Amino acid sequence: MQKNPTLSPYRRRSWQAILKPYLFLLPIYVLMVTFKYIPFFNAIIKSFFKWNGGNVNEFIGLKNYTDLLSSRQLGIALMNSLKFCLANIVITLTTPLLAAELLFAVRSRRAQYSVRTMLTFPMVVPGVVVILLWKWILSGDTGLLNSVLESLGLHSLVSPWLGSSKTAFFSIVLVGFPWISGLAFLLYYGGLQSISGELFEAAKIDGANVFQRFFKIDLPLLASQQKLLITLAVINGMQVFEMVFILTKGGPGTATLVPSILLYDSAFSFRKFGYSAAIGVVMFLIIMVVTAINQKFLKSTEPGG
Amino acid sequence: MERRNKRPVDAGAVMSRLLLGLLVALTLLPFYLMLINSFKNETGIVQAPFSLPLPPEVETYAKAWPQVVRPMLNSLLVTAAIIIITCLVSLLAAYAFARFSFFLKEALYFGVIALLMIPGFVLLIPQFIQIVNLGMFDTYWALILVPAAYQVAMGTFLLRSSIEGIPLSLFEAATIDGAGDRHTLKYIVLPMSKPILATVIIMTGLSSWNNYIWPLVASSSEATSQIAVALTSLVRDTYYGKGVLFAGYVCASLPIILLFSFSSKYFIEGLSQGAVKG
Repeated sequence: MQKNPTLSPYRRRSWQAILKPYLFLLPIYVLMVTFKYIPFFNAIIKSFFKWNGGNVNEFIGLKNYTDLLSSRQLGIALMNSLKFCLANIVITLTTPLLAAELLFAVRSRRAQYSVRTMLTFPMVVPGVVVILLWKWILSGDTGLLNSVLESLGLHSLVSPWLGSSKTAFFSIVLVGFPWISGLAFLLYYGGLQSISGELFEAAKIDGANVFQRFFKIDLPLLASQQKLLITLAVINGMQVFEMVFILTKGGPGTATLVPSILLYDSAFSFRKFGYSAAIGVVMFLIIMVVTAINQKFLKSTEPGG
Repeated sequence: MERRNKRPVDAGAVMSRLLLGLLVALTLLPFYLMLINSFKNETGIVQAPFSLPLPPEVETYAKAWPQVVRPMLNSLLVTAAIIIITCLVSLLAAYAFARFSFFLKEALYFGVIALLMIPGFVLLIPQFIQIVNLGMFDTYWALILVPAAYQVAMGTFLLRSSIEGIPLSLFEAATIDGAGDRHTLKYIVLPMSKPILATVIIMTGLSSWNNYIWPLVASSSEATSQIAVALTSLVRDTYYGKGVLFAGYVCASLPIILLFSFSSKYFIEGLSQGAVKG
């Protein structure tokens, strides 16, 4: 099967050699065109149709978009998304950083390694299992949190955490407490390890205390990690689905409604596929804008990033 | 090494150890509770959720196992297929982008990574419609090929930079020795890309095994049901109650936990690398 002549740089390239790179790209393009690009353009087209996924299929122009933008639901869902993004940002900047600092201060290498492994552990448990465990912890009747409160004699605090519109949102945010296991912790910890030991030595000689060191050395040198993590926190905040779908389905009422739930329900509960496609297009545009802002923010503050 | 010097123990250090210990305990608590309560019946769980299961109920596992074994095998098959397709397809594409120059190269590269940042749910409905049109609804093809179409973008991105990092002299030596693309891929690219391939395999494997939203819409029968979705609809009886659910969760978590305990170094590197490069 060896056809060496085509490899020689001194010959004119044959058709075979010209075509070769494209053959290597054939599989990836078959996959992506079939399952990403065609659906993507289809979604744009279908967003101008009234379509139930079957026999009802008529062109209605911009009606899906005008319906969507005049409905209160989209605004509520986007507001909740924003709240999730903010919660994610606060989380990503606090407990993982605290844990990374505490772990970094541990002197024994061995202990560092095993604690890091333990703190990473939840990342390899299926996300659905984590969510279902928290559903049990937060549930109203026989939930763990409520029975702990009962046994401490705090009957007045017992509450259907996920079932009340006052507490549902914060209950969802609570999932995964203390929110250490994850990328943020690994990046902070890796970042601290890569800071030169001489800096810490110098700080010690100068008599800097732990907090001075943290604000003058650690925090500035972890800035690039923090920027990446904030970007990811925003992207993840806009994509929340599983957690809300499994815990509250967006309820009670619209207390935890997010765009992904709205999109899913429009299609699979109400068979409004065209409307659902329009939600997808709007979300796509919003995410593009947010990503562009993020990129700009990242680039402007991190030359050569 | 200089930080190993013995210093007098001060109160701050003790406090920070205690705080770290507390954070570790809180992080692991839900999983500890899952494990101990998987050996209890409903009454035991409600009355004493924190105490050890003495004597342990094993019947919970007998009730959970038949419900999770089929979805687990299905997920295993789908995960393995997604990993193989992702590695092969991205390796070929990355090789072409890294080694050849051709017309429209960067445009085609952009075409591969452009949709990387689109969240999955935006394409959820159109992809669902596409697999219905292709007659793939409720088949393994849909469960494998659609997630693979996501993973190959990241795979190509990571592998391209790794292949471009291989010294040119190695490729030249191979060409002089008369190696074709197949041999170059097998004896140079593959061995030199092992670390980044490990990253791709771990990321792809974890997200396939844990995938919830796509099987939720693309699969409807027991024959194709996937573990993450099956876990949300486990059937319990009145006596064992949540004990059965916890037993099911433990079964579903075990395969990856076992892999993790044997290769946590790769996992932790893989998990952080994927995101940094992305």
